[in-house]
Amino acid sequence: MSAETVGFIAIVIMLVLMMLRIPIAISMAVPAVIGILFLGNETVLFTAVESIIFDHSFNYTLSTIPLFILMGEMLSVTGISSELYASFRTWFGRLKGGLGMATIGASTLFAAASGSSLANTGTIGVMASKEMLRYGYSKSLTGGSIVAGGSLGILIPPSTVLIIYGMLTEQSIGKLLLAGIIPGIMLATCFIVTIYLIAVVKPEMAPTIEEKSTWKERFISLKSTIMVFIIFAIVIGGMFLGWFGPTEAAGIGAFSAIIIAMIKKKLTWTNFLETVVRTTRTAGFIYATVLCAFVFNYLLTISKVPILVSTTITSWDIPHYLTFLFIVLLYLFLGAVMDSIAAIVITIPFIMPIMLSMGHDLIWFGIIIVLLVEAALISPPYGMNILILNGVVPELKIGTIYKGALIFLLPILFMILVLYLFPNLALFIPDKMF
Amino acid sequence: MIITKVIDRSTSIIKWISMICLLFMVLATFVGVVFRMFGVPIIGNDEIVAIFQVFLIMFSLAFAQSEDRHITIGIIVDNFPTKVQVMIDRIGYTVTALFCFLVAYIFFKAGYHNLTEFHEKTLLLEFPHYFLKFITCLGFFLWGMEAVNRIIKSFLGLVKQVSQLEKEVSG
Repeated sequence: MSAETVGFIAIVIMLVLMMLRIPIAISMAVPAVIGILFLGNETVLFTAVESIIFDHSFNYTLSTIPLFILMGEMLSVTGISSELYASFRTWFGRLKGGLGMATIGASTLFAAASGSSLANTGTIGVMASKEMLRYGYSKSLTGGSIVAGGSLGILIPPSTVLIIYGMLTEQSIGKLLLAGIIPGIMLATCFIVTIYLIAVVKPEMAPTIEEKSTWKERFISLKSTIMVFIIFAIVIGGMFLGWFGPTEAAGIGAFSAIIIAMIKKKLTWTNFLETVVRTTRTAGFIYATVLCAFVFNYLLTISKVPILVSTTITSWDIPHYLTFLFIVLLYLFLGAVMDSIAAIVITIPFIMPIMLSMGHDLIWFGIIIVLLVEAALISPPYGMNILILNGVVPELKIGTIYKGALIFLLPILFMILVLYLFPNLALFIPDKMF
Repeated sequence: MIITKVIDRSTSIIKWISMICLLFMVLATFVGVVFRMFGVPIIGNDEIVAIFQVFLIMFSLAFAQSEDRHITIGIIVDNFPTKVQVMIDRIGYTVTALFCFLVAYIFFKAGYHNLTEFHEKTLLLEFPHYFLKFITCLGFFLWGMEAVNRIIKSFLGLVKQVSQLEKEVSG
């Protein structure tokens, strides 16, 4: 049996195991172990497993993940998200669709402190839904705005998904994180424009609020945003200026978040422990998936399957934009049936050579991947943001949220098109990095 | 059952160790940056963080398993009858346990070789590799044991369900 055949059989076994609800990590590791044993021998298997797991566990850069997760979790308990929402409400509240805009604004700023779209959705969702529903906003627009805003959590730095992508593709984590800034701000603006257009076309979905806020109130409300800007400036600014690397930035961010929580007197012993427990648990399943993905990638490398796939696709001589369109559709499909991290770790070994052969920049492609993951997060049937929002606000039914979220897929697809045409929008800031 | 209690207790202990390691990672990173900015870099600070990370990773794997938090795709199995789901999950736990015990064995051998023959150490702090490899062995072993624990608990849970059903029928 040829090496390529073994590789393909391993992929099929992996997919079967995944569909049997076996953890993604184990679904990748088991066929990898069998495949390596088949292509090599016991010594090769033992050496490969030992060196891959040990080298990556003892990898300084990988520690960026739990540190950023802790930073986001810690800031969640400070109540900063409700302050951000209140601040944006005083600024946008009276505009058409103003509360929806406030939801996007607060989600955007909270994304700058949290690397997770799920945390973003869960935290902003509770207060935003209360306000929007109280003022007569339709349930679908309420749900759609919250999950769309929540999805920004993985695009605006820090972003766990981008860090994992960077590890798998061996790209600079710092550059990847910085690359998300401009597309993140642009996408938030697109979401706001979408909400405004909905409010203009169907005013009954977003009634205008009569309450007025004075300019003094507006400026006073901005003080809540200062903390986020300080953390963002230290963490992302420090990386941009070359003061420290991504891991150090994450450590500084986590430490600053603990200090902020103490200053705001929101840090009790109980919620401190809960935060650390949640971070440890999340780190556990992310590490397991990443380590096993590396073992599986080793099998793919020795079976030469990724090279075979990329040379076959490039030999078809089809236009680049069609290949790119195929990849976009592939990720939209995968995102609809599986977890985003799983979709990335499984596909990157195949997609990366194709992207390189097409002459695309992998930093740019990281942002494209994240945008596709964002689309998946708000699409049926596996839209995690929707499930999370339904979990924290049961009043918003899953079907209603899906209905409201669909319209927000348009700005995401629009952003992908814009980035395809103007890749420098993503690469501008990383190229200026010190 | 005593074995489930022992595994639960072990997972609880390693959960605390991994939490402490996480906090040490934050502290080490922060202190490292501050000292470097004052012109007094801490030699091997990166290695300190990486060593704590090995502990965090290895001990958080079993903890995540104990709460069934490893990423799974339930799009098909979620629609099956409960008894079929339980059966499939048991197969999943068995596969998980087998893989973890294999990795634990590999790292036990590697650690033993490092201890007796190679004497590999980290570059700056000269921290022995065998220690980290034994920790990796322990981490995967406990992950495997936690998977075994889930199998036992699933059987116990099913026994309870059946007896409950029997009670309802007889009642």
